[in-house]
Amino acid sequence: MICEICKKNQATIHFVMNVNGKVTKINICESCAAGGGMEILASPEKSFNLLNKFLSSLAMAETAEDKECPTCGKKLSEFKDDGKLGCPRCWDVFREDIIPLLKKLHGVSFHNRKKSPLRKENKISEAEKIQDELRRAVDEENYEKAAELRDRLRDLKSSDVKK
Amino acid sequence: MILKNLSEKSCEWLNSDTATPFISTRIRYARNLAGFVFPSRANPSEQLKARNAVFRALVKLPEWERYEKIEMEELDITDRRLLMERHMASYDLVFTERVSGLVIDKSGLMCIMLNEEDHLRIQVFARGLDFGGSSALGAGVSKEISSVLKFAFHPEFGYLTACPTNAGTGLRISFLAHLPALSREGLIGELMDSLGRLGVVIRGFYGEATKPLGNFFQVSNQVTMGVTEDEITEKLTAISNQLEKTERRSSDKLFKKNKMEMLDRIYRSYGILQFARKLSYEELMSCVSDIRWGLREGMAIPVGGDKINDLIMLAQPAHIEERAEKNLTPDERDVLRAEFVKQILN
Repeated sequence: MICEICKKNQATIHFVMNVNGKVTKINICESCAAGGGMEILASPEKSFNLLNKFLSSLAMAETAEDKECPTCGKKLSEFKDDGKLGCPRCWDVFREDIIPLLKKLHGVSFHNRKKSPLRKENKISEAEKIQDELRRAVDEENYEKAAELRDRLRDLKSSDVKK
Repeated sequence: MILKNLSEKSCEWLNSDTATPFISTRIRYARNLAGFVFPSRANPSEQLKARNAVFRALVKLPEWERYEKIEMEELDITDRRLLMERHMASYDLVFTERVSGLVIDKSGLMCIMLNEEDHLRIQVFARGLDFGGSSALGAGVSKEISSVLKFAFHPEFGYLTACPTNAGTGLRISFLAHLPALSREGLIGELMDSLGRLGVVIRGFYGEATKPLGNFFQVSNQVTMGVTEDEITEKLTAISNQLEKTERRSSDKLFKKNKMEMLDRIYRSYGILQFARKLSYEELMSCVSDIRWGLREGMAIPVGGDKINDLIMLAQPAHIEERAEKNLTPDERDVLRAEFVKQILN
């Protein structure tokens, strides 16, 4: 077992701590336990702070706010840090937090547009696009193109009515 | 170093037609295995299981027997860099400590990265601009593999990926374009901004997190969700047309404004390649860019498109080391590169 503080040495000392009735086991190496070996642990005060930080991070993980994926153990706070999901199930576990991100990245948050409420809007914008092109074609006296665009517009509208 | 064979020939996907700014097209599908933790979250034994699952499944596809299956841990850093230089492996795959792998087609036109950010990154390459052909091939490959492996798919989000930037279709289409005139006019930054608004990004020569070399830029779609594959293709086709026109206009302008300066610069670059005794890859690419530009403008430089491609591909650092069969200092490499370039040109 690797020391949970320096993450390098073999953990040979195992603490069992009771914080507010919650039992936590901590496994650390001799060097970290003695407060030597690592600069950050040189003074007992620092050593205490680090241990405290370690414990408070454990406590935070157990509060309701930081969701955790039951399959891979990825926490919401970690996802917010690195932007990466841990497994397919994370997508359901963190769904509410992923959706705004998807909207920011892709403009939408769903894969299949056929099933989405936006589909109609897209149709409208396509119709508008053709209408614009039609106007331009008429301006340029390109009547062949205009006729073709008019037919496309008619098809688009009639397919909408059928639905 | 076990990939010497690869280091001796160029890639089929490099376009030897120097009349166009478009070098190659790449289609990439990101796919993950259902029921497996994503690679960067998985422990080594889970990573190994995922890689084995893919290798085992591919055996069931007769077509796939001829593909080479590589376990990345068999390769030293030179081999890995060689694969990156051939655009088969990403920066992430080259330097990762994960149990990862590659499935490659010897022509270099198809490969699958295993345990990169996602379990599978299926890549198809094509010469010049070929969105239709390569996306049909890529979609075919993805479909074929899905007959023997179950991909993680969500009714709402589509194909699930480790990073939400790739979800939905999991499809990234990109093309490599040579834009010396726009670059010389200092317009690339502006171009990045305007394409960014259209959901399209410009990256360096080796893709994500790499810098441009020799004015070669990779242009690709950013949005992968809520769009169909055809729409992505249409958008990139429109952008490539526009880019070609803008590059053409800039080039015409520069040649019109100061033709002698342009000719001098381009012939000087040819001179450097012919007579230099030491050449860094960066300097080589800058000269290659000038020569390719000159050829596009119809200048009489006795270098064909195939030779340009050999210089671009085979003079890269890991290619040189692989052929020398030893690790080299940058200085030693630069000397060997200059010799190699002379050999190609004469």
